[in-house]
Amino acid sequence: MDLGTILQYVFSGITVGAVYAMVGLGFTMIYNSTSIINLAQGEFVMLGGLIGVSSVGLFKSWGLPPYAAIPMGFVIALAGTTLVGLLIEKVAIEPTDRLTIFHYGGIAVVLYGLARIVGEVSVPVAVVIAAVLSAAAYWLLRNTSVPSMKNPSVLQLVIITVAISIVLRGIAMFVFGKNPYFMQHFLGEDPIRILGATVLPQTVLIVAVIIVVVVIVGLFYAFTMTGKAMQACSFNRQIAKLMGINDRKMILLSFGMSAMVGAVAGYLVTPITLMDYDRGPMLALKGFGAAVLGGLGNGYGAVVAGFTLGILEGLGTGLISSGYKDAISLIILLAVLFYRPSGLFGSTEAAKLKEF
Amino acid sequence: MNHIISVEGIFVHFGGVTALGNVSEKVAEKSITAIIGPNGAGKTTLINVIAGAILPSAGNVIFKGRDITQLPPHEVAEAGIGRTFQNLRLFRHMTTIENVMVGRHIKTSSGFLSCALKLPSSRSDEKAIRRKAMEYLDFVGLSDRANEDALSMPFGLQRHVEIARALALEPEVILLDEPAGGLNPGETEHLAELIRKIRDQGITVVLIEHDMSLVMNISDRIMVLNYGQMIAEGTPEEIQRDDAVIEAYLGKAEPVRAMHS
Amino acid sequence: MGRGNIIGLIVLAVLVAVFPLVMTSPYYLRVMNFAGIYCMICIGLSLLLGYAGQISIGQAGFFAIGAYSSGIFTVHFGWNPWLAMLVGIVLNCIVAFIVGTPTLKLRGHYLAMATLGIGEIIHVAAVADLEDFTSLFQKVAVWFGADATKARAALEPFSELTGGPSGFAGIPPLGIGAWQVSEPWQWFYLIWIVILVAMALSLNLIHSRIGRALRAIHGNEEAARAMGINTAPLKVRIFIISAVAASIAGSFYAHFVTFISPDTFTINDSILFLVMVAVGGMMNVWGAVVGSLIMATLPESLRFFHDYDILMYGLVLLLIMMFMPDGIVGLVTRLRTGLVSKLTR
Repeated sequence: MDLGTILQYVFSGITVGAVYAMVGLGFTMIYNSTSIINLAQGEFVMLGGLIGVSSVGLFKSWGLPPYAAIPMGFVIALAGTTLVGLLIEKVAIEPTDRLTIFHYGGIAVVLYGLARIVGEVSVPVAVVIAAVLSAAAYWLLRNTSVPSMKNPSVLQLVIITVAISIVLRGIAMFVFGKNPYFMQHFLGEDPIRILGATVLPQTVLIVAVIIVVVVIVGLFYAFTMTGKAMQACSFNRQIAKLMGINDRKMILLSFGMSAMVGAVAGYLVTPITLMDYDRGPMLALKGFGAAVLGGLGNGYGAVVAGFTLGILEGLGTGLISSGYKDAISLIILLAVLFYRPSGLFGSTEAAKLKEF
Repeated sequence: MNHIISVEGIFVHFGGVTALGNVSEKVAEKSITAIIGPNGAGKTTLINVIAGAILPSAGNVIFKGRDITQLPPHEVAEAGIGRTFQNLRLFRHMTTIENVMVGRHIKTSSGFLSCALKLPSSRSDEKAIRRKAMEYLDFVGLSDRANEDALSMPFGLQRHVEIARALALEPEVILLDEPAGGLNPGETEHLAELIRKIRDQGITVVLIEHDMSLVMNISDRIMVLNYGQMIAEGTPEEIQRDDAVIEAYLGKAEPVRAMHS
Repeated sequence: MGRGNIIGLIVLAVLVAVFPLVMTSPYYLRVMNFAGIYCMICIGLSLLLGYAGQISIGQAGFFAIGAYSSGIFTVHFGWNPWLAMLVGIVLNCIVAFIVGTPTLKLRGHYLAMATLGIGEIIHVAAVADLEDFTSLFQKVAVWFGADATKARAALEPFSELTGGPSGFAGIPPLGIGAWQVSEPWQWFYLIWIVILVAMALSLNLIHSRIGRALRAIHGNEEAARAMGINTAPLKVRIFIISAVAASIAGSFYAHFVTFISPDTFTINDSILFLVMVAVGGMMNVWGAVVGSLIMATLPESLRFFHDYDILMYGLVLLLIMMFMPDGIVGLVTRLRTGLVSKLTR
């Protein structure tokens, strides 16, 4: 087995590794500010890819050339996914005293679904029933705080993120369909030859962008007031609050940023790996593996671990077998959880039992 | 006099912060010892070290001649040290008496199988647990509220439940972390009575408190912490006169002396 | 156990006894049989989730091990079905012990992710093609110095072990001696009597010293340890119990449907079980019964891969976890205590 082949596997591993790195980073950001593991993290990647592809397609249909459509698509994908991230935090994570319009929207959709499935009525009738009952619910509950979410426990929040991941997947399936989406490579498809192996320009682009993202995030945390405030929040929320830091805003921000990094990876990787609505859970699992391997709470560690995991997976696929490719990452995840939950760069204190 | 607990040269470092620096103290059996000091002085950290919740970076905790420094919290409890928590850690979704009954866990031993099958041994265990738990609730004066949801009780009474729960362990030493926090003077007086009753049962009491009248009233010995260091220890009278203590709480002693001269 | 629970058990027992006599239609019996199988899994999950406060998103994996054990050992090795079920249980105990012991010392997220991971690994193993497995086995054997063709030949008897992505059929029915469980009503009694027994044992456990210790762990783990409770081993044990429950359910499923494939055991199913427990009410083991009955009897909910279902389940889980974390049973309990206090004013 020559260097060239091995290098080939490594390069293919770097592509997926980049995604794991960003998912892991996203996990870390939310974990640091809230102590919860956002099990919907993988969906941010999926949304970045799917929203991106759709918008690029739209721009191209308007006659825009690729060098304009692709960056614009990037912006839209990022903005859209970040918006979703912020929405999630506002609607489902933040403790609330009363229902907002989004909650009623959700209730309406559930009622619609129940009407269709249980009542087996036609679409227009179901819409009417859902609208009427939701309006009734709004009128009834408007002045009470009976359905409220105060002080959700960490257990509750984790299950909520599971539910969110399902909802996002369902919506994506609805909007984008089940088929994988494809986007043309940004820099053409002529492979670059390095040391007997070939690497796609897209892969080089991915690594370059990710490095830029990590640097920007690092600078943000270290040198901006908001970044330092977020760090303070993650060290000790009580004291940060006493210092005047708005912890709710910090949490909202961490969700937004985490969605943004996920979207970046999703958008960049779609030309190579395609993207479909169901990609989220496996990415979340492996991204979590990266976060834990890097030391839960350590952003840089998560990024390094993500690439490491990707490369190991690439090597495993080539050298051992492709059918068991997913199992490789998962076994590494379990091994880390079992033997060294503090990861490569983390502290054992961080992993120990506290609230949940 | 027997020293039932002693801490020797305890250091606790968190990252770059030294939460406790070279703290040593001996606690006499069947006495009431108070730990006082400004906020952040390390009082709860010291309690956590004794209770096994924190591993000190250096130093030892000796209980009845045995080094318990490395023991995890549940083994410390088994050894005979009970505790309450500063910000109340009653069990959610359980009634008052059920909370206290948990304290009897280590006094019984029916396992999964005998509990699932409701074997006679588990049934008699259950009766004994309930009876004893009732006794402890009675001791703190809450037997009439046994079946209420623990967290729905008034704050001051929740503190009593926690104390009953810790007493149910039949400990030889009980660590009380700010038991008077949030209590009004009447409730505090009631608490003082309760603590004396506990001591009269032969249980050594170590308590962290901010309420000075309570502390001066019932303590046999007081130790004062500031910035993780022990700055004074002695009888209440000695502490009240100690310059270092006055300075820690009120600032430099000069203005006070000036007022007296 | 409490009068309420005893009455509940009696009512359930009567309903179980009477149901097949009243509803003789095989279709309804089949639906209730599926509901019962899910109920078994949910009882185990409810103990883990509601009483010990730990999340498992991998019950489908334990379910699969139980089903595949029963399938493989009866079909390929001709073993007695009960023995095969026992093997499944033992395997699940081992897996749960291995997964649970290190992760339950840590925060709950770790168990959630570890169970997600183990469920996926089991699924991957079930789906993997024969060729993949053989080539993997070959490579490992060669690495140890064996001959490649000999290794492949040694694997022949074990070919078609899991049937790969399409699964396999022909699983024999359960039975004792000459008498076999084949009619829907026979299955109904078998499944639901097992559920009654499981409920009784669970309720006994919950209202005992162990149950209290588990609820204490859920209520406040640090305080539980301060009370002398060694929390990690207890959590592992209840985790193993939940795995055993899923194992038995899986074995029953294999003999009931006589055909198994990896599609029955995916993350989505693990999530489905979570939804059932949440909807019914996680803090109460009756919630498992209520939740599984509701979800299994909604017309199209048995075919999980219908398009709108996924979104629906997600929304239901979301809304319930946000506003009604005690589920239906919790709601009923709160209404009842509210009603009682209003009536006794």
